[in-house]
Amino acid sequence: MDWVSEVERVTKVNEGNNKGVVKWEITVIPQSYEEVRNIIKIANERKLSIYPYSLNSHHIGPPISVNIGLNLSNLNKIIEISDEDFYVTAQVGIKVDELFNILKNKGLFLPAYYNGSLGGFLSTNLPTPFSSFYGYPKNLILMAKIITGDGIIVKSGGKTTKFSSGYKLHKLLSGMLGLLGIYLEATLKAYPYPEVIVTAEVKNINLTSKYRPVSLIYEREKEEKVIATFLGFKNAIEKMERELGIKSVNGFYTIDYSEGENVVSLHITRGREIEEVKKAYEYLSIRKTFCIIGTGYCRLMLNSFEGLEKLRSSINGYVVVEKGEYSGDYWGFRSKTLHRLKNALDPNAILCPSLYVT
Amino acid sequence: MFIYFKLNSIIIIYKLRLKIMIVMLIDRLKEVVGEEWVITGEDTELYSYPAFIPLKVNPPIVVLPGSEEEVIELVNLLNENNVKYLVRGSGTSLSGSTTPTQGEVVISLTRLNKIYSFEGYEITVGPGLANFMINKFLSTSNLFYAPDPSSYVVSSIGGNISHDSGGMHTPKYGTTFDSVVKLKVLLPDGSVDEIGGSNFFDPTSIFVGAEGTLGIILRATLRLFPRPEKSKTLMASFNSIEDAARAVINVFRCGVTPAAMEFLDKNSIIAIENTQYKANYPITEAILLIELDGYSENVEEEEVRVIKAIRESKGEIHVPKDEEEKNRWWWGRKGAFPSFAYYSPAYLTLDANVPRSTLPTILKFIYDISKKYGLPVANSFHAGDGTLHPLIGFNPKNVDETINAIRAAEEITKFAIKLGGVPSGEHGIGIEKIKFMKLYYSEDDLEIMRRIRNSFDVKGLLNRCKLIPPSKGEICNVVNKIHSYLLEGDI
Repeated sequence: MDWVSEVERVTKVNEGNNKGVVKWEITVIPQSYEEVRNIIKIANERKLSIYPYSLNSHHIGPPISVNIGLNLSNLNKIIEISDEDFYVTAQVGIKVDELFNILKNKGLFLPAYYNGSLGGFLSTNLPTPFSSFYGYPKNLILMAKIITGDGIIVKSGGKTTKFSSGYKLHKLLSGMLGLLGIYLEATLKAYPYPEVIVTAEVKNINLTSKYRPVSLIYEREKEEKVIATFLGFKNAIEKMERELGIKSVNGFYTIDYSEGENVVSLHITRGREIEEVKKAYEYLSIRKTFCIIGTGYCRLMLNSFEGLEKLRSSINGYVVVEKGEYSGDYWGFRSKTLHRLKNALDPNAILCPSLYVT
Repeated sequence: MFIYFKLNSIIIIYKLRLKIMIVMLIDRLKEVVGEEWVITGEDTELYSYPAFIPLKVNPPIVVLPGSEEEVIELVNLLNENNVKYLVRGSGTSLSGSTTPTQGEVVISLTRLNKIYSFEGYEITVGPGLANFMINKFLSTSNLFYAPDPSSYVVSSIGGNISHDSGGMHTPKYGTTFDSVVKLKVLLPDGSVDEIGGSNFFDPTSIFVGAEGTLGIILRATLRLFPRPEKSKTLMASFNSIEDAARAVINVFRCGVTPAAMEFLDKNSIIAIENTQYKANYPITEAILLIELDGYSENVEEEEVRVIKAIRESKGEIHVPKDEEEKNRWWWGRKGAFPSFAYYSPAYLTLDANVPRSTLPTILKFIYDISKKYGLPVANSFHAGDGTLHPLIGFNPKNVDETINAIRAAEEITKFAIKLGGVPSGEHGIGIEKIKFMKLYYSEDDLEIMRRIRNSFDVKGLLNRCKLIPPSKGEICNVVNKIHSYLLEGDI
């Protein structure tokens, strides 16, 4: 029996994908965790490679080509929402903006907004419009059900706000882009939904301001500006507006991670984003930039990658090529720890081969 | 059922070999760290246990390196000679994760206590630095380091990371995990890895809460938060435990995330009022100490809402009349654990973390357990994040009473897990709660953890027989009846 027929016996198989930066020979859309496990078992036995995704809208890193595209978009249920204990458990195929609005209607605030699936949100660990204060996606994960590269489904973490009961696989996998394992479902921390969320362009405000912005975004295209998002009570926001002489608008800064053809990100000391990104302008031809101040993350949309290696050698931090065809190293760093983790969690290296060489 | 070999031939041979090895190694260890930083003989008793006191085991030798290079050299030396070792900071582990049960050489990192840099919203420090020293260093800055475990005056940053320590300010600022940005780690094979600082491929998460089983933290870069403009303390007193527990939920539901929300029951209040930590608390069934912080206008609105939520939960609000009274209230809370000496010469403290909505149920259960075992119990804990800290009194000189206290603790932890909680929120598993791992996790979950550990600690030398229950056939030295009970007692 050929391997496609074998996969067809455990799940429905569709055509693959020959376009874009990630290519795969067949698409599988499992309806259950058991089907995911069976697909992975076959992949291990047959030495097939897998690329997990839900919407495939935010591939990060070099182009890759695999045997099986594992589409998790049908695993999209909300399993539990607790408005007493402030958490939500959902499967990874659900869209994060939908989840945000469902929670909002129940008086819960998920300090995250992402135009993609929950699985993508967790696996990319890209900062959110609230990350200056609330941190990265990995900071919001309380618990997860994951599947390893050799098909073992494990639980990690707990639905409580503190957890010191074993290795934090649920957090480890965040930002690993599917290299070490695949999220199946996750429990995320939520907060009371604030009375008001507003955004305003500000001057001379930093994170240590008494007004406590939950995010400060430095944006530079034709000109530089800083946009702040505040949460709180109506009276407080009105007083702040009077004191600062600004007029805010309801809502928050939305980040579109699909923007740009050639995109790099800087990973630098938190609080030093503006100083460091200005260095990048000396080396690169940049169309547009934004930095989420306090996260150490800046995103640069480039006209070309020329000058990238010079920037790498002069900057205090990492430069990652997130999107675009680049002839050099996409990541700019290696880790012995990651190598050990890959061996432990994906011993046959079937997940996202060639995405990152540990 | 796992098999533990008690005083079997393999362990006897290892112990004999270890004694010979130590004699042979001692001069080389002294060469590495200097003669005055190697401890042998009776003085090693100081390192025979951390803050988990039911079990004490003298290590064969203690070394206190003074630099990262010395730590690396030591680990290479121990590796070459196949000698087991573990790493310890200030010795405040409440779960016994640094008790040298397997005859380990203890490497104390207290001398690695430098502050290397402070830039932007990050500070880089050595693992031996006491938590408290960071905010002392930042006293003139508008930034602060948020994690504040009760032991923060002495507990070290390396230990805080290895246990993912929490503290009072978790509801708003998270645990130590949320403040770790980068780590420099020494892996068990003697290689050094600098990790973190990117949202991609950052494996720092695996070391936070790993209880020193995967490697040694040589340096940590930590996140700092902006100081709030205003901080406001309120105290709420209640005539019933249930009302107080329900008030915890109602405060969050009124749209407020407090910076801290601490719970003290009547037994804790009485103990505190009879010691040097006396805070002039009302003698009532329970009190909540609440801290609100942020932009002053927001804090004022939060105060209005919290007062309403407390009153609706049948609580009475108390506002400190001045800074001195506010500080005394918090000082009293910090003294809740040492004040337990009012009831008992020693205590076990648990840290099962439960969903906040289950607090009324589990608190009732804890008082029932106290009656069942005839042991004093007091509850002073982080209600805002659901971390229980029942203190269970016992006489450590009485082995049977010690085991009885452990049994009482186990019943509480089991019930917490049944209610959707976890065995440990912030103290770690260590040896104290190792058997609960089999209750909380499936065998597949544990096997994956073992795989991870074994991929780092290939030779099996680093802090074994802690955190993860041994696999079938794995040999663990069992020190005494208490240790045996901790490892094998019924769950």
